[in-house]
Order: sequence, then structure tokens, then C-alpha cells
Amino acid sequence: MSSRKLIQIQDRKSKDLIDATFIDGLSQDEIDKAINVWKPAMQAAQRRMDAEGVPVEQRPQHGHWDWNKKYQRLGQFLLFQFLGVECDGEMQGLCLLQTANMFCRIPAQAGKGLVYIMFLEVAPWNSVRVVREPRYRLVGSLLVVEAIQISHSLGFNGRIGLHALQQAEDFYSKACGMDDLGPDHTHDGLRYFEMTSGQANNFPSSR
Amino acid sequence: MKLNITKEWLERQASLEEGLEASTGGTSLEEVERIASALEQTPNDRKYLAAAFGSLIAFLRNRGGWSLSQLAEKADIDEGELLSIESKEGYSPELRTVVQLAKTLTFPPKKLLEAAGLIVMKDSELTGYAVKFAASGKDLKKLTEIQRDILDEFVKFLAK
Repeated sequence: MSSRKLIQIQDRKSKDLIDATFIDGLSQDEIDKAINVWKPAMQAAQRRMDAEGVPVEQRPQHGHWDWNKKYQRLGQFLLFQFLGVECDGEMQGLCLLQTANMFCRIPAQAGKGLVYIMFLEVAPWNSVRVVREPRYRLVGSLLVVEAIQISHSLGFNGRIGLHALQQAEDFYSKACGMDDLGPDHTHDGLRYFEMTSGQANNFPSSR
Repeated sequence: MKLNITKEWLERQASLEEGLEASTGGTSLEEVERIASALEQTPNDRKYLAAAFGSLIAFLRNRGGWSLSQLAEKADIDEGELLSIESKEGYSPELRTVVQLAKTLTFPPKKLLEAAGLIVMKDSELTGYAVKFAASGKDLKKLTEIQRDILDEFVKFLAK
């Protein structure tokens, strides 16, 4: 069962806030529709980067992700939620949450449950690693806000966690204010980030 | 809890995002496959939990003096799903339904989600209570004193 609500994202060029729809509980069709648009956009960007000789380390680390496979394997289970942000009839961002069986690592809340952001991806045209002039801002932040909201509704007091790709570390530490707990060797050395309930309470309201 | 998202916050946050990449994820497709395969195996404990959960909800509904439709309306859930929870062995309810029931019956959502077999908590004693309860019989009209004690113990543990 999916639910929708109205949110606002920012048009980067005009700085205007514009209406978008937040979808909780995406269907296979909605994922397919998004990927059918994202894939050619990402391929075109890869061709441009090839032509310009952009070094591998500067290319998007998420360029190869396969949301269809993720949905086919995990979409059937209740403990996973697929979220999306839609605007202009196109999906602007996707997120996969694991809503149970994940536990905090920050000593003050160690062992308590949290919502784990397994994957979060903005559309190629919103990614600073894919295009020079991204179209919309706030897609990533509002997906994080929704993860916090879901954490509250499940009784986890806003606690969330994730493993950040190296290119996204600054987003989660600087723009979201999450704690960096360092490299996790069970996840290819990616750094693990966690948000406490106190940080979650402050994230959308006072920063 | 509804988060307060103001226009000012959105504008500040948009500035903070400038030049930063949000796309992230640290789980390989092999790991996704491993997780999915593990979830497809239903451990025995899950069967006990599912059996106990239906009886537990029926017991709490009767104790509150509600009909199926009254509790469904109060919790804002589908009456058919409530009936399935109470009557179908091993029925797996929607996550939202269990959260709504927890709110209405004033149990911590985590505990009820665990009782429904939807999540597993670290070092939990709940399975032990659920197994005892499920094994003690499902017919709520014929509860013996011992069975009622086991049920009370289970309810008290859930409410803690």
C-alpha cells in the first residue's frame, strides 16, 4: 500500500521552492518508469565523461546501480520500504530503507533499533557528480527527513544509520549533521554514519 | 511525531546541499541476494510468533470489549486484515497495521512488531513468552488459570 504527500524541493537555477510528491511504498511500475528515464540520462553522462577524459575517481560511484534488481529481491518483504520523490512527472530521487533488525553503534544508543538507509540516489540530472548544473536541490535531504519520520513512527525516536559512498561523506556529515563512526570493513571500508535521536530532533527544525 | 519543515529550513538546507552528492549505499547486490534468501527461510520461532500474535490481538480486542469493526475503525485499519490476523494461522500483517494496533492498544510499536514476527530484536525474551503462549492453546474461551497467567505474563512483557 503506498501513500503520497506534498513536499517542496528547490529549483537550483531560480531558487524557487516548487511542489513535488513524496511517495512511500513504490510499485514495480514506478521503479521501472524511473529507471527507463534515468538509465539513458546516466549513459549520456558517461559518454560525455569518456569524451572529456574525466578520471574514474571523479565519476559517480552510484552510476551502475540496478534498482530493478533491488526491488525484485527486497520489494516483497515488509521490513523494506521503497520511497521516491516525484516532480514534473519524473522521479527525482529513490530511497530504500530497512526498517527493522538494524541496531545503533554510537555508544550512547548502542543496541537500540534504527532505520537504515540502505540506498539513496538522486536522479542523474540532480547529481553534482553527473551534471555540472544540477536541476533540483533538497531531494536527498527530504528523503533523509522521511527516514527520520519513519523512524519516529516505528518507535526508534528518529535514529537512522547508513554507509556513505566516499563521494557522499560530506553530504551526511556537513549537510545532515550525522556522526561519522569511521570505516566499516564489513562494508568495503565505507564510513558508517549515524544520527542520534537528539540530532534527528534538531535536523529539520533548527539547523 | 510530525517534523517541522519550514520554508526557512528548506532554503538553508538547499544552501548546505550545494555542491554535495547525496547518492549513497553500502550494500552490494550479492549482500541484497543473501538478505533476501535468508528472509525467505522462515524460522520455527516465526511460526510460533505468528500463531501467538493472532490470539494475542483477539484477546486484547475482547478484553477492550470491541467488535472487529470497532477495533478496525479505532485503529484506522482494514477490518478484513484484522480478521485475517486473528483467524489465519501464520498470517503476516502489514507493518502499518501493526503500528496502528500498537498505538490503539498502547503497546510500544517495536514490541508489537516483534510479536508479529516482523522484526527481530537483539537479546529479546519475547520469543520465549510467545512460544509458551502459543503452546498453551489458542482457544481463548477455554483458558485455564495457568494459560491465563501465561497470557498475562506475555501482555505485561509487551507493555514494558
